Amino acid sequence: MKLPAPPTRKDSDDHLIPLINIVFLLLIFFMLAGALSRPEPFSVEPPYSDEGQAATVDEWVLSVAADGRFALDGEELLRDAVIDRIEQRTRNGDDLRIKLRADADLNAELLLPLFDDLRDAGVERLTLLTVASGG
Amino acid sequence: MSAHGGWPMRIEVPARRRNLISLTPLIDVVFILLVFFMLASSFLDWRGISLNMPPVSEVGRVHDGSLELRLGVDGSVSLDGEAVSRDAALRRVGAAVSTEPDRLVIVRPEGEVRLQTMVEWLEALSGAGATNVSLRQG
Repeated sequence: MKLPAPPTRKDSDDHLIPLINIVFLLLIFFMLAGALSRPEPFSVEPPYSDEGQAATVDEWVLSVAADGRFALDGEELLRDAVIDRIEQRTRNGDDLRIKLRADADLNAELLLPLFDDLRDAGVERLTLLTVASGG
Repeated sequence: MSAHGGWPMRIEVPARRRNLISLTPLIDVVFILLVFFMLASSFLDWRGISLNMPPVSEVGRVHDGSLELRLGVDGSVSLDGEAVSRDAALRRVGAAVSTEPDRLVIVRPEGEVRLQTMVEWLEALSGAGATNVSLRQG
């Protein structure tokens, strides 16, 4: 007697396993390759450059938006408050390296007085953050 | 009982491997994590250009033998007061710093010059060999 093969009822979840594998791989890739960064209160389009050493965006990052708003480490502040905070920190003789993430559209009129004020506040080293244009 | 006795034939159902927990909630969570990391991580290749911060005492000082490069909004360049082309300016700066590597180059952009332009000039100057470059207010 020839019996029809019993209908193989596959487990409903089995076909999902390759999908999960891929999703896990993507997850691990994004966790390892991407750098988590503090979200900025505004968007900053940094200037492009090919020179300069690789830099990390970690602490004492001063962001300046194209419309002249300021943020220190992700916290939006007025210009005077930024200078005050930096001054408080440098007053104890700390060597402070400020990383300036400024919008490429900012003009010299706004930026250069800021450099002067930062220097007067005791900042000895200023790094201008740019983005490699090579992609 | 035999198969010939009129009884329905009993077919052994293969033992199914049962999942102890359903995979669907797991996938949900993994997807949420994936979306989080995709949105929260940035892949920008940050570079840093170190800027000279001259000590306060030096701000007003007149630097002997420094080269002064003025940048205009319209792209015009003048080196020590003389209007030159971009290439000529870079060539002359390059020649000057090749004999005297520490020679100070002061870049004075006009008020409306964009940061991108300044960065390009800083790059070009360091490419020409200038190591002591300072950005000052024009």
